[in-house]
Amino acid sequence: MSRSHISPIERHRRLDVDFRTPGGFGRLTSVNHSIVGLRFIYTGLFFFLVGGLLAMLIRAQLATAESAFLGHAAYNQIFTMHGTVMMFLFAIPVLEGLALYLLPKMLGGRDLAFPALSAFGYWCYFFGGMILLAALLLGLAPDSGWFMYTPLSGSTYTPGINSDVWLIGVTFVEVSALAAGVEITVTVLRIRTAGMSLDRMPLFAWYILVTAMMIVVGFPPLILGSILLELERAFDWPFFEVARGGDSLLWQHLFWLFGHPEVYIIFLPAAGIVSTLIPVFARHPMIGYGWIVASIVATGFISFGLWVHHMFTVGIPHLALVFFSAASMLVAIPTGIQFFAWIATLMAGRPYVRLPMLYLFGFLVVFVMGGLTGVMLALVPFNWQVHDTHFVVAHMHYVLVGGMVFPLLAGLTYWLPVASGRMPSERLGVVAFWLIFIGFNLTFFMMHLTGLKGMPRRVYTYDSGLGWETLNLLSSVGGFIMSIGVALVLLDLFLHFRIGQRAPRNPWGAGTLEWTLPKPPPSYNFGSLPRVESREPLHDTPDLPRALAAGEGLLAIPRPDGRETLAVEVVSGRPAHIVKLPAPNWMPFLGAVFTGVFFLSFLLKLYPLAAVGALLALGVFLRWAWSHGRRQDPEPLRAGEGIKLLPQAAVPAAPGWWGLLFTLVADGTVLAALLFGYLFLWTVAPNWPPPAFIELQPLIPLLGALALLVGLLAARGALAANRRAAAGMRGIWLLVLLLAGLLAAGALLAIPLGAPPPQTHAYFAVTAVLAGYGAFHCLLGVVMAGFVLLRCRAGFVSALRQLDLRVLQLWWDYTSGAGLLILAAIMLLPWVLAP
Amino acid sequence: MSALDPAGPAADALAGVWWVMLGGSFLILGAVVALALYAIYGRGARRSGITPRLLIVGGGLVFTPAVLAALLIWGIGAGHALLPLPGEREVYRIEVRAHQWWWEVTYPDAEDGPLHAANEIHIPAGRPVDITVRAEDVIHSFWVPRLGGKIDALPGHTNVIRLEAPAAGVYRGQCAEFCGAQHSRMALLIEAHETEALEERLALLSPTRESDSAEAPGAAAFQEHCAVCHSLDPRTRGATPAPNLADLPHRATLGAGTLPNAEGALLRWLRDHQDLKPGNRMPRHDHLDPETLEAIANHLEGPR
Repeated sequence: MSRSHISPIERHRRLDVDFRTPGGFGRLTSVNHSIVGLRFIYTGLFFFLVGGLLAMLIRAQLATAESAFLGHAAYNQIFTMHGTVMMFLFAIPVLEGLALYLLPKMLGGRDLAFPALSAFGYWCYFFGGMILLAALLLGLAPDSGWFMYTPLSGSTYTPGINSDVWLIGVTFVEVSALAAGVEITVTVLRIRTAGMSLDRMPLFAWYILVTAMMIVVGFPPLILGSILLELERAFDWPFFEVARGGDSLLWQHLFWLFGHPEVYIIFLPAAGIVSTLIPVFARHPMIGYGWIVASIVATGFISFGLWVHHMFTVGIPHLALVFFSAASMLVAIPTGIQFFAWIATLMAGRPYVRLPMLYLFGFLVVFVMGGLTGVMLALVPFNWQVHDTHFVVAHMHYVLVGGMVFPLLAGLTYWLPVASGRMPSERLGVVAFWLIFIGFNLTFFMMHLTGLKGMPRRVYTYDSGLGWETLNLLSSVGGFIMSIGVALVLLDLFLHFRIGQRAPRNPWGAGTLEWTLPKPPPSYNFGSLPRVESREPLHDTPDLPRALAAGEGLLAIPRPDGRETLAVEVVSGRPAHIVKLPAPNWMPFLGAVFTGVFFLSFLLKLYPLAAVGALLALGVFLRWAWSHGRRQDPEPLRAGEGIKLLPQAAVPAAPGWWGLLFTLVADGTVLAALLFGYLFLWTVAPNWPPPAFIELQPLIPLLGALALLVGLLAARGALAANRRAAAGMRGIWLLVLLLAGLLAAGALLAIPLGAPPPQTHAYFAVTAVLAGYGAFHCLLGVVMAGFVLLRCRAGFVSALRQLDLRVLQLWWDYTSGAGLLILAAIMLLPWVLAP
Repeated sequence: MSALDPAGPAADALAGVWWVMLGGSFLILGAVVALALYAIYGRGARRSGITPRLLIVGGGLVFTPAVLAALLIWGIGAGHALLPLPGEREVYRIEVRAHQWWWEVTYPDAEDGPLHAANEIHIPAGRPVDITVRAEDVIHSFWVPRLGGKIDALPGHTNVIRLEAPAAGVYRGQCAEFCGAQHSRMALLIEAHETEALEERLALLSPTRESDSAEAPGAAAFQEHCAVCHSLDPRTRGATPAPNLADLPHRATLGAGTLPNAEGALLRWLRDHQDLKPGNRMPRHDHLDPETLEAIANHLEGPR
């Protein structure tokens, strides 16, 4: 079967019809990963220019002492937005875009696991970014720093809309990061080509996989923090206000619980670029693949244990400081291992230097320096001296520009031929590199000294005579040199797409699958999917491009309305089933528009309209879910090589189930962070215990617990009945589930409704949020149960096609567990901790 | 204001840590860059005997952890002098409350009971001083670089930092945590004195104002327009604390370091303070005629 019966041209025609995006307004319906990935990259680069422009304004203001260029109001918005734009609107989206664009091409897939989800994520990012940009142009941008410390960012000290813009705009953008996190995790784990076991994956995929998992558990604490702060600002529920039992330190913990992993979320993909390029330019396979994978995983874990090093000066017990000091240094070890593995590979090979290598050289110098100052900052006593000074500004830019921008430029230059089919210029590019490198070092090396000489961060003006003038002027000059370099990169890119030399199929001599594609790549990537036998398939079979186009791989014959790719077993890479990919459609765009209506109305305090937006978005998602599946049991399909595979509608653990699993991991992290906040306030906040505890009749929580247990059983009962093909019993269980869910939600909501209002004390506010979290999940579970009931009626569910019920069961496993935990926290904690 | 020009045991130790780390960093950076260049351009790199295992295990698993452990063990003690640990030496106490955008200073052990002042801290030279730091509104950070590290001022929490000035002199400090509009103009001065000089300086905080005639035009205007927030009596904080003005004529600066307290500066401050330090919490005085402002300034600067 591996020989196709159709010509390559016929194959191309049939696949392209299915995969290509329509023109005109139809572009808004695109779900193709190449298009969505490039949109992320373009939009991210646009915001890089915005952030860079803001940086130039900052450097213009600080070039001289007592400058009258910008006032404090403008400056505080500008430096806040510089950080916010660079972190949330440039660094993460660009790397996500690169990953979304490249992963299927490197893993041998025709698209991602959930192409519509990443398209939805893109529109969330786009609209959220536009909210922030509009606020900046209207002079209403956030102005309490990108870290938004309370109480400064609270309604007392920032009464305007500025902080709300940050909380809502950034949360909107984070929806897209979470979507990408789930998308990438499931894609790397399941959507690969035949034979690509975990240990044959390109290292880039390992880096991106760990990064995506870090996003899934790293972003929820900040999302929770933003929700709590917005509740405090909008409805006066005190979480951070000391007088009513809150604590501003809670915000710092939640923020840095996200904020430190965030640094590695940005660094790891960039390091993945380095690990991809080094073996290519060394002309030698990567040495220490296993060491590197272990280092990536170790970095992921360690990065969640260091957040306190942003808080060394808040008055933390000394022993804890020593612990976090040691943990912060520990992260240098896996990073060091990667560096030595890169050098070992270069030594073993016959390296040649082209523009991407030049950027890697910049990365090496700049990032090592950032790492060294990072070790210095991890040493608590020294941190006490330079924390919140320009020394930290210098360190952070060495780490982020060194660890992200230089590798990104290396990666963009390296992969440009894939997208454009042209070679990057070695002349203009080299000049641009040196301008950026010299300008960067001039700007930021000086800041180490400015900081040591006592200049705090985030000052809009400074007095002359303190010894800061010369250094600041040099920094500003350097900043403008760097800007010229960036402008040259843009010019180079422009010329590249116009007059760049045509690139051969595999210009750098790489061994990974993205270089087997025609240039620019077709909408479906691979005419047929390769069977992979090593980490560098293109080196094994230099003839691979022709063979794949000729249909010598898997899934070589497109079925009508096909859009198929392979799902593999997680570890072995053995083909497991066939994934049906979505056609271009309006769901992602409309879903994001209605989500945007929700966020924007909330921002403008139009709460009824916000509710309408949320309901419309839910409607779009349900409509989308309805369009999946089939009404008859499918036969196994021929995949080539004599293999027959079931389509996803008939497999128990289809990508959708995995997607929900990782969504629930993120969701569970929100709950964990909330419970952490509850305990933190109880043990650390000054005005505790609260004036009174919630007096509850045991009846209500017991009823709630019972309903949750019934829900747990009913979801499993429905699944079991379905396996026995007992449709009547299945319907009864689903009805029981509906009622139990409603009862559980009612019982959970009754708790805060019977208590003093949340405005009175953080205790009541936290209890209300906990109960609300549980009730929200129950109600969503009720909607899902009703939805599945209708799906059963409509014939989408059978003993073989049980995905709907499996998803429902997973949801209720989580909801029941979370609900019981919440009830226990509400009921038992006062009993345990109260005096 | 430079941490590289340290004074006192805490800052000395931290500057020492810095110079050692700087030297070590340059060595490591040089070694890594040299190794990388050798790997790329060195002709004998492949036959050099530097095996991958040696690099990854020796460099990554032996060298890095060894350097880090040594640094941690050696360096973590450098901050000891900043901790308010009990000891043999007698400790002088100061309380600081940080406000948007000024520092309220209290001498809890002064002879006449706690005395309040603003933006300047007078301490004995050669004696450890424990500074208790709180915040009254948003988060600030107390930092005098030449004397030592910083400590955050948080609402609802109390932190203590120990500083010691070795000799008489003035040490500038500044708020280090972003605290809103005028974060830039929130400086403070620590002045260390020999024992007698300190007593003389603190004597300027004594409440002599009571003898002033309430009939004087400046005094009446002060009562009418300023006393709602400001106190001239160093023994009282006032309900909505604004800087205590008891020793105003003797202070080095106005507006928490905004302008030197020279001839005519106070009148200028009263007139233009929202231009000199835009957004500060004192309302504009546009409704007061120049004569009234001058009378208030004269009253505040008046003879003691």
